Amino acid sequence: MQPQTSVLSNGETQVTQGSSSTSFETKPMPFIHRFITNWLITDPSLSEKYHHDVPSQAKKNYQIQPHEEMKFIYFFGGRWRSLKQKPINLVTGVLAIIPAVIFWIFESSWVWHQISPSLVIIFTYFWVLSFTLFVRSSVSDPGVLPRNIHIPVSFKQSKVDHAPDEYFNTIALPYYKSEYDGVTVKYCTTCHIWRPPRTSHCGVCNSCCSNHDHHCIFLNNCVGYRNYKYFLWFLLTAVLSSFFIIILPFIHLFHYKLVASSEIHSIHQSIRENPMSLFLIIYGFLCGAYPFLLLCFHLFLTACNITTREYLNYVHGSNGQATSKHKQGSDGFINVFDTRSAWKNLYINWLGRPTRLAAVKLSEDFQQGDLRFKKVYPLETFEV
Amino acid sequence: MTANINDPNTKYAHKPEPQETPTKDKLLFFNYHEFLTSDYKSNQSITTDTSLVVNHFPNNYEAKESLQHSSTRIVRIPRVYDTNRYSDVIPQFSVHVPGKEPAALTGSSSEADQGYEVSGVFDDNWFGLTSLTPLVPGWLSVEEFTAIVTRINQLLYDALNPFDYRNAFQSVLDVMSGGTLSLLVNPYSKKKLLELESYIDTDVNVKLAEKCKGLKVIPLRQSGYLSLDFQVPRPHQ
Repeated sequence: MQPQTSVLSNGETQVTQGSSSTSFETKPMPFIHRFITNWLITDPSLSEKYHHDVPSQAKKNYQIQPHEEMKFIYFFGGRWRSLKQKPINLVTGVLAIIPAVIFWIFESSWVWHQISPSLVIIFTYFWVLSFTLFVRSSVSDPGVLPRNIHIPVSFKQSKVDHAPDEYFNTIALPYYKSEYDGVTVKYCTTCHIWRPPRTSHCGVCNSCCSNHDHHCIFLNNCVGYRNYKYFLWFLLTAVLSSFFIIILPFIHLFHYKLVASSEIHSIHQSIRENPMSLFLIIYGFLCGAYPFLLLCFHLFLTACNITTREYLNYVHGSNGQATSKHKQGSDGFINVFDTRSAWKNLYINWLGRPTRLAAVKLSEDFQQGDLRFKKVYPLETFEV
Repeated sequence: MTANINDPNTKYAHKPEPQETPTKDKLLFFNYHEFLTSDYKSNQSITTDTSLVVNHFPNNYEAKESLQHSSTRIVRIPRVYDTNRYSDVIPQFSVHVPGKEPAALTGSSSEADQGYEVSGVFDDNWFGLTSLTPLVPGWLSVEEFTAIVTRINQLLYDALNPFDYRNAFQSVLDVMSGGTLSLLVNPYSKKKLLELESYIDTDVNVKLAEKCKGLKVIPLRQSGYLSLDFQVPRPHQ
């Protein structure tokens, strides 16, 4: 019997006695089964269960689950991600698809022939943009930072003893042309990294995210450096699509007033003839209201180059009272990233931010001993 | 003069002192990765209130059981935020020689002139009493270090400048394609970042390996662009 070496989902190696080839031979998993569990949809916490037939096969980074608090599941070989939570993003996607399908079936033909084909094409383009940007915002890496990069001392058994006191301080550093109103960096005791400014630890994802704006339950994903642009344009195109969903059926319902030879003579008759038009108008208002308000809010935030988190924590204040944005003093928040030009701020957030490489490439082969995928307990200031 | 609410003369005569504008201290840059410890074993007669400066760290980029992990350490060059306005978008690293930052612990002038010298053991490793690290001038000269960090900063700026016309143009096309263009074609920023990785791997590390086998720059992608890490041989007494 040959011993078999397998890589567990937490990255550690396990050596087990191999089974005799005559009586306990493990049947190889069918290709379709392996395809579904190891590439199409991968839950890292269940990865070792589906890897037993090829124990020595190299694992990919996305198949490693350091500890139970990590809640990600991956699709298409680690290229898409989501959280193991209520799939509200699926509901959001379905809510986005329903009005488009109804429009194409019941309204598009009338709009194409009675008003203009361009309106149908423009609506379709906005809707496709909106949906693809929604998918991109929902399943792409928001800017998750690698863990365990800045562990200060040696550690044993996944625990760092005698953490330095300095690592529990908030550090103020000078900013560009501002030696008095600087930026702050703070050590994340969970991820064991010194967080750059505007980086925050998301309690839902249990990860630090670069330029963290907020965790969106409708996307089931954080909104951060790498997908904020797509989130903003998703909001805008969703609102524009909603306008089309409301306005075009509205015109359809009241078109009888513009045509003398119409067989329809009242609004009630028009609604009876075209019930889906009324449905779309109501649907558009109900489902477009929240994205519209959110879009207005983010237009304001991006014009000031401030994140949702910063606004709620510092500008609006945790006690519910608004504080002055430019209030000086020990508890005044100064947004040093505001370029003082609304157009520049808008440009940076809506278009300017270049795409960065993902800090952790999930589709790469997992390297034994890679500490980024190992569980290390949070730093503590004192021994209990 | 305290106000007496029952005496109108004092109550209305009382003038509150003008609120003093809180004065702010000028912020100075320092390497926030380093920390002090007084729990160490010394090789000299050092007073108990002198702390050791821990400014090199375990090489956790190598497997714990490996020889590289036990024979090398990491010197971390921190990020700076005062060299360009868009420091939240464009990572930049400190070009100050490690240990010569504005708020670094330099000790006495004689200690500063001596360069890096170990004085005590903490966590089974030797450290000194100042912020100076074994990297400069032990393994790299000031000029070599500055050249490497400056070039890396320049490549990062070229790659991630939001006002670069190439980034702007590709961003517009990416949005118009619903975010699919950047999946199909590597954007300009990613190409420059891969060029940076290649510069570190083929240019810098090859030259450093000629100096010493254990000397290298950790690829920035591996450190998440959070710090510029230099791997150095483990300091000895």
